[in-house]
Amino acid sequence: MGPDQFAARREPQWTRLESLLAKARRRAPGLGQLGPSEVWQLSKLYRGLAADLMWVKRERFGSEMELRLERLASEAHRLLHKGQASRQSGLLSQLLDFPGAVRRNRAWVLIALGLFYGTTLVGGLLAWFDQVYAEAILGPQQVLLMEDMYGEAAVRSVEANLTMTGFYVFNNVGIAFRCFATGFLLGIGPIFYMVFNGLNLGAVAGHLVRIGAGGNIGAFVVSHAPWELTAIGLAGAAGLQMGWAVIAPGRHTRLGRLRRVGPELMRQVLGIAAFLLVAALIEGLWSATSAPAWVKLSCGIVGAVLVGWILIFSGRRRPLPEDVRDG
Amino acid sequence: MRAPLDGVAWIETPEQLGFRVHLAGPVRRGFAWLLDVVLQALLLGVLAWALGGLGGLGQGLLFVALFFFTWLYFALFEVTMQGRSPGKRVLRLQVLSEDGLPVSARQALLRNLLRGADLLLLPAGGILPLGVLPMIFDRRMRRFGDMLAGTIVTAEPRDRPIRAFARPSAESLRGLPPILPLDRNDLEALDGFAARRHLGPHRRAELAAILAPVYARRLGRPAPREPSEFLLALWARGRRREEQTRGA
Repeated sequence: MGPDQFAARREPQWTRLESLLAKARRRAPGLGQLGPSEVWQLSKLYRGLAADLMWVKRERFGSEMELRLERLASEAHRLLHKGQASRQSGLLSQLLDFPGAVRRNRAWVLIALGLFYGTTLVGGLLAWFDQVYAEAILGPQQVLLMEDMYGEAAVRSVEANLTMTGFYVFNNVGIAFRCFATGFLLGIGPIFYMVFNGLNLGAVAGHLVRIGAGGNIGAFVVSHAPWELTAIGLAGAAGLQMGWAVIAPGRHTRLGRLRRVGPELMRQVLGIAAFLLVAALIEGLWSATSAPAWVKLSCGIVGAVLVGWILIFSGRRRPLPEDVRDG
Repeated sequence: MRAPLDGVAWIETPEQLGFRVHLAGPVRRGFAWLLDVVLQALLLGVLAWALGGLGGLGQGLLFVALFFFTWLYFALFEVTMQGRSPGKRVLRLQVLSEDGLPVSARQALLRNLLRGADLLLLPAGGILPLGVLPMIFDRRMRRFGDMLAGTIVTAEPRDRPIRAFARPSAESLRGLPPILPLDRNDLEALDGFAARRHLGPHRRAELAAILAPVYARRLGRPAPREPSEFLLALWARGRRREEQTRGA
């Protein structure tokens, strides 16, 4: 049988399949668009197409026909098999697995937090004892701006609070995501972000303490700090894990290793985003109100206890995710 | 078998059915991205105008929108619109999982989170994003985000039925034996030659001059005087398309 004869004979089936696929493509695409007998027909046509395609390839009936059948096959395949999209747990379930993922990677968390808090502490001490240091790190304008902002207790108008809440969502979650994403480059990104942010934060805090405004900035940050500073550190940890998967893939190829850590990273990123959202709401709507410092301090303590409880104790009874169980 | 460098990926299904999908390269993807960015800018402009009257709340919402556009826009479209952001839709691109199936929410989120790294500019020149590098070297033209999420970006090939750039003359067809010593590989090569309508006549003649003597020798005759014409005749007879080409 020549190509033309073959095509003429099989054309009705292909056309039928094409029209079924077109029907399934309308509006919310999926098998739901088709009736039961149509689905049955589709799967039969698909199997027929598989045989046709093999024949066309073996007989080399030409790339034209091959192309058309391959396109049909690929679309029918996507429609009939949902793959990962259906096997995978929903985003909420992945979010609930976040504390477990953090605990499983606690070594990385400790390294990232150590790096972040360590540079913050060192930078803070340096800025506290040495006037020149903060100016060298932040630049004189920035120092003046900080002195201006925290010269007295930070209180904003309601309007400004709303604007700033949005800004914190955009800026802080963005920083965390970027810190994570650049982990791909052998972990250089997270290390840079941890050190850079740590030094900056330390310089600001140390300098303000030195000029006697420590109480003001302390009252401002204490409520949201547990959420925000932990989440930034966790983002660094997730980025480092990704970098390490590239550096030392173990028994896998580098790409294979990356692919395996993907789900675990996703859980952490979702949790980090949730933490930062909480932080942004507190920082935007509450931190700059005129509530007395001791109330804010107790908010900070409650926050710290909650963060600690979530990361250390929550979700312990959840079953291990599949990808972790398989090692 | 060494995989050819032809921009296709091989996908195997549970039915043991193998087929190829055509991959999208950096340029086409770059244009799609550009379209998306322009659309985002327009939407942000409209939002800024609409939220302008809301004061502080409006500005806050604008920041949230900015966050959405930076990090979630692509993922949202890729999950809900079968792997197509608006820009990809225009350029007929589609994000698929490596097994040829639709992307999951996790895959879409992960590949787009990595834009944070893929969009960093390379120090040299400062215009090329970092993600272009792996796309150039990877056989599946993936950027870092695709590698982490296990996704590929496919391009729907345009429908280009093979019609030869010229009809073989009746005379040259008559000169050929009814059954040709051509196997399937030869026919595929001739398909490829016949389909190259975009080449100028000189380039075509040049190519034909290389290819024609091979087949002439096989038929036991001297190199044809008009190689291109000869190859077309071979193609038409091999594919039994005399009628179509002559009658059309």
